[in-house]
Amino acid sequence: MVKLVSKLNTGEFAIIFLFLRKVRTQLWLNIYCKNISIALKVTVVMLIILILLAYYNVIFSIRTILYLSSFPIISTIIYTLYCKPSIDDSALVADDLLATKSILMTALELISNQKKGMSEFSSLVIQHTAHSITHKYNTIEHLHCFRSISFPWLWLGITISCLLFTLNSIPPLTHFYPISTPTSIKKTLNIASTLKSEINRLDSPELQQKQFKINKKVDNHQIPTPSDKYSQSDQTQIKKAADSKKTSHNQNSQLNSSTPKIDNMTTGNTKDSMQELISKKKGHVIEEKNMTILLPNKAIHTYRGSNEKIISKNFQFTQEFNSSKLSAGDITSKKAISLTNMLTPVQRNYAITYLKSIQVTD
Amino acid sequence: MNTAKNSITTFQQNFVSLHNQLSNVIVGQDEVITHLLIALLSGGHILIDGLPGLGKTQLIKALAASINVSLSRIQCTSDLMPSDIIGSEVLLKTNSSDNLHFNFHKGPVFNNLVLVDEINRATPKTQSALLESMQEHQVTCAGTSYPLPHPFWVIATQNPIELEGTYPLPEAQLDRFMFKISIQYPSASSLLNLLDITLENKTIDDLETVLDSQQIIEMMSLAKQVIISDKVKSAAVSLILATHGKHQESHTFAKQHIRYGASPRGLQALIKSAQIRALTDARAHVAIEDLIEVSLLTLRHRILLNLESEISGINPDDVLIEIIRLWKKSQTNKYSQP
Repeated sequence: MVKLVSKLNTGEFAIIFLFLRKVRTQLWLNIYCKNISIALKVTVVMLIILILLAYYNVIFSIRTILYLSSFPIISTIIYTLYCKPSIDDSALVADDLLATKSILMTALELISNQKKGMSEFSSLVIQHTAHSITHKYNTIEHLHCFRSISFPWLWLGITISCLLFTLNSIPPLTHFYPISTPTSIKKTLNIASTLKSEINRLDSPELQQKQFKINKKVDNHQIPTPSDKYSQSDQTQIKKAADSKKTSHNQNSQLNSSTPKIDNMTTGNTKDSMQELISKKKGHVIEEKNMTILLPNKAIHTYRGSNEKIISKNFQFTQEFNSSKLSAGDITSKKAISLTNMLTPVQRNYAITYLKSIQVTD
Repeated sequence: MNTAKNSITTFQQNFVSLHNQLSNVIVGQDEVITHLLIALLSGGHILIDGLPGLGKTQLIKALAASINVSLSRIQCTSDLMPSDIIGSEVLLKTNSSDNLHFNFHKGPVFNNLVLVDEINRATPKTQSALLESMQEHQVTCAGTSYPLPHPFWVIATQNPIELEGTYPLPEAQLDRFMFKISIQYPSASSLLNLLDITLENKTIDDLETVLDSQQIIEMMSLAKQVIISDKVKSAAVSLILATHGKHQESHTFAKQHIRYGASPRGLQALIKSAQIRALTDARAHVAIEDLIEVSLLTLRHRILLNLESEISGINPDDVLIEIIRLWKKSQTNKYSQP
């Protein structure tokens, strides 16, 4: 090659190589766009499938969806990075573009092969190649296939839309909740209703008066006794509740082992919603009262401190709940349900609609 | 570098001038003339196939007159003997003594251009007499080999009709022809031009010599310098293999129709003729387009169709055109734009 270079003008070599590199870059970009387009199409299809799976509670984690959907794109990018077209392929493409009948392919071979480069015709071929490139370069620049890089903006937009839809609609569930919809509704409503009932109870004028008294005593530097703080009936109630805590816990765990405790709800938006509700009643001591209000079909349930078994149907409120003052609370509030954020949109809407219909009937 | 450029330019000019000369004699057969000249400059033998009266013999005579080479004509008949072609040993008396001795009397094959008219009318024995001369450019008689003049071409003609009393050329004979050129019937405008030429009473003897044999040899040697890249060589090999029905890489279409594919001699013919084709296009390198251009001419008489295809009346040209199309498709660059 050195001998051939000495024979020829080095500018011709430079022209050929620069042109071939340009073609290779352009070719690489085209391949990149083509592959990315395919990957985006695959991603869109995958996202649609994953969204459907998420709606039916087959997939819980948004991370899983993101990982699975990003796999085709990432793998394509890596694959295309390693599959850079060779300079020989670029020469073939350049011949097609210039319509030079294999001249670039031959010239490249002559340059790289020292023996072939020795003949007199070799230098002529290289000269012709450089000449062809120089004269036809402007023509190539205007060729659509060479000039434009058809990046798949449309598919990128569709993919991003699908991703945004996924992020907005599917919450990141990390709890170990059972899959079936009725159980989830039951548990959610259970939590929400318990919180509300506590709030309602704390809002009751009797308890507020007692709290006021306690505060007054504190202000007078008097150490209050439990008998002073609460009335006899209240003390009994608290005691009863404390005693029944263990028994009801066991009963509940036997009846429905998957029923979560409020204390255990420490992750996700559920925690936030609880904290929000609790923070509204600062200064009050929240007494835990595990009480199931809505039950699925034929679920046997007993209230805490009571041995009476109740069979509820189709998420209907229990009689005890209806008769109690808790039902007066706004447990069907959209916010209360939506803040729990533990249901899929379908489940959430279903719960709200159902509860509203119950409320209207009542 | 300028010398090479000038050589190619001269080659092209000579080719064009020769082509124009022949075009004036044989009207409306430009493509045939081009193919004839390509084969001639490649040093190959040519088999011309056409109906009577299309100017086959006239074309060859005009060619011989244009390039100023010796021409002999052999009119083949069923009683033609090999010795009538290659010559024979005759008993002669020398002037110095009364002793008699055998002397080789050269036949018509000892010329630059041998026109074998209606070759399929000769018996296989006589046809075979040309085998050695065509391939090895020599004749062996009575244990002695006699070299043939250089350049040496055999241009044979055959008639596709009137096959009674004819002997189809064997495969070995056919394979020695570089090109098989089919002359088609001229168009109406060409026939009108032919009439004008006829009325002018111009004969072949009136033709001027355009090139001499030395120039032809120079042109032939120049063709050997034409560069063929490895990819073009690979493409040529793949084309030859594509014609083999029993080859692994061949297409299903070839397997269906072809019994025997093109020979290695066919590959040589393909590459040599592609070199000339490149020079006529003022190029110093062979392109894949050149291979495509000459592939039908070099391969049409080198493939043997199977019995089913022959009974179905399928033409070897049709099979080859399809094979070339499939091969071209396979040669397309994978990165090419659709």
